[in-house]
Amino acid sequence: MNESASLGFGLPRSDPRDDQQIDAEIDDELTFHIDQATRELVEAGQSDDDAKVNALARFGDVNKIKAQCKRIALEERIMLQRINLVLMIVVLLGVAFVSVQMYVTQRHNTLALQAIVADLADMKVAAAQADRDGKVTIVGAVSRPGIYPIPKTGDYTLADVLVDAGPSDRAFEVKLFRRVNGERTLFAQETISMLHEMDRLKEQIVDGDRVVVAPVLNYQPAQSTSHMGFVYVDGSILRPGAYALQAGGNMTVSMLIKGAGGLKQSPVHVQVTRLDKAGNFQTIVDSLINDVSDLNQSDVLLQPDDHVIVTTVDGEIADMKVPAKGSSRGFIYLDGDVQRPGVYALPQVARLTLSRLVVSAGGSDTAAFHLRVIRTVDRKPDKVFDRLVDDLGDLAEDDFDLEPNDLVVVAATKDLPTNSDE
Amino acid sequence: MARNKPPELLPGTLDLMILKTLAVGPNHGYGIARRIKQTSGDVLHVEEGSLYPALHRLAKRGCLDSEWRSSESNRRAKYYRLTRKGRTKLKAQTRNWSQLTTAIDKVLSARTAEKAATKGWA
Repeated sequence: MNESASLGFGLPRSDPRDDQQIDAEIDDELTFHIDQATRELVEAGQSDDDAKVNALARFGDVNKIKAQCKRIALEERIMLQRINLVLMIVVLLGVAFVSVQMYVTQRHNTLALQAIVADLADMKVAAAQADRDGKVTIVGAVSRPGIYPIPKTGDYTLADVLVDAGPSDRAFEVKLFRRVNGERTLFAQETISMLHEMDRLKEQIVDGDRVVVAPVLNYQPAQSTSHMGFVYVDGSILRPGAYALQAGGNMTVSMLIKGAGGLKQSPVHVQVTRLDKAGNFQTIVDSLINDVSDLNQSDVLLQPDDHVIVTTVDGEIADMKVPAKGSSRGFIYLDGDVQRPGVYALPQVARLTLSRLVVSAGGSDTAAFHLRVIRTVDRKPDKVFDRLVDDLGDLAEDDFDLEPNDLVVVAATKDLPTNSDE
Repeated sequence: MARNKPPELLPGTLDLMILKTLAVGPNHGYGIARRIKQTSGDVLHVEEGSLYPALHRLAKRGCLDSEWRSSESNRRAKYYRLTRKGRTKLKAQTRNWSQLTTAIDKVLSARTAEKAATKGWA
C-alpha cells in the first residue's frame, strides 16, 4: 500500500483513507507495539501489571504520538483545505471587486445618461426660445402661472396669455405691468366677470411684460352697475353656464352662443325660453340651425334670466349644467303632450311640485295622460315617477318637489304603449 | 535505580537508523526498535513511540512502503520495507554521516594534538 504518492504539478494527493480508517490503523499499529513490549517484559520475569506499566513508559505519550501520526497522514488534506480557503477568499474578493466596479460603472453611466437627458432638454428649450421673441410672466389666479414665450410672428394679446395660462372661470381682475423708461408701470387693468369678456383684452404683449390675475371675491352681479342680470345657456355648446348681460350692451342669442365657445356640433335645435309677466316660461325661439348665422330673425336680444338651450337633433341634451348664480336654482325640462313644453326655472326659494309644473305648462292636451319623471342620480337616469294620470287632482297625494335637471315627460293616452313594466 | 542517562540522538539520525535497519529486510515498528537497541549494544535507547512519526513521515516521502501482514506471533502487524528511493536516501545519508563523523573526529583529535604540543613547549 503506497500512502505517499503525489500528484503532478507539485500538488500532493491527499490520503484516500477516511478519518476512522486512519485512526484504526494507527491504534492497531501502536497497540501491537505495546502488547509485544509487554509480552517481552513478562517473559523476562515481570508481573503482567508491571510489564504493562513499563512497556507504556518505554513507549512514551501514546496520545501525543497518535496525534503526530494522524497529522502526518492528513497533512495534504489540511494543506488542500488551506489552499481551498485561500482560493475561496480570493474568489470572494474578486467577486466583491467586480461588483464594486460594476456598481461604479453603472452609477457613472446613469449619471452620464441623466446629464445627456438634461442637456437635450436644455437644447430643446433653447431651440424653442430661438423661435420666440421675449417672455411674459403671468402670476395669480390662473391654472398654470409661469413664464410664457412670446411667438415671433402673429399677434399675442393679453387674452392669449390668459388662455395659455388657463384662466379662472370665476370673476377676476387682470393687471398688465410693463417696463416703461426703466420703470414698471400699470399698463392695463380690466375686470372680467365672464370668459367671453376676455375679447376686450386686446393689448399686445411685449418682452418683459408681467400679468397679475387676482380673483374678485364676493362678486355680486346684482349690485354691479355694469351688469343688468344673467342669461343661461345649456346643452351642446363648449362652455355652458350663466353669462352676465352688460348694462347697455345688446347681447343676442348668437353672441351668447359664440361667447360660450360656440356650438359643439351641428345641426342643433336652439330654444330660448323667457319668463313672462304671468310667471310662465314662454318659448320665444325654436330653430333648427347648422350655424349661429342661420338664426336670422330668431337672433333676438336677450333679457335677464333668458334661458338658451341647445340640443342635438336627436333631442339629447348634452352637458346640462345648473347655472352657478342667478335667480333660479336650476331648470326642469318638460316635454311631450302639454300646452307649453320647454325649460322651466326652479325658483330660488319657492317649491315647484310636479302638479304645479304641469298646470303651469298649460296641462295636457288630453284628459288622461301618462306622466313620467326622470331624475339623474349618480349619473344614472332613474324613473322616480311613472304612472297614468286621469286627472291632475289625482296627483295631490303623490305630488313631490322637483329637483334641478328633472326631465318630465307627458304622453297622451292615445300614444301610450302597453305598460308592461308597471 | 541508578543508571547513566543514555546519550541523546542527534537530529536526523533516527531516520538514518530506521533506513539502515530496514535495509536488512521488512520489519514492523516494534522489530525496528528492538533491532536498533540490540545493534547499538543497548547504548541507544530511543523512546519507542517516537519511532512511529518518523516511520510514517518516511513512508509519506516515498522512502518506505508499508503492508499489513501476520507477524511471528501470529498477530496482524504493519510491516515496512525500503523502496528504491529509500535505498538511495540511505546511501546518501550514510555518506554524509561518514563525512560528518570523520570531520568531527579530525577536529577532536586536532585539539588533543594541540594540547600535547602546548604541554611539550612548556
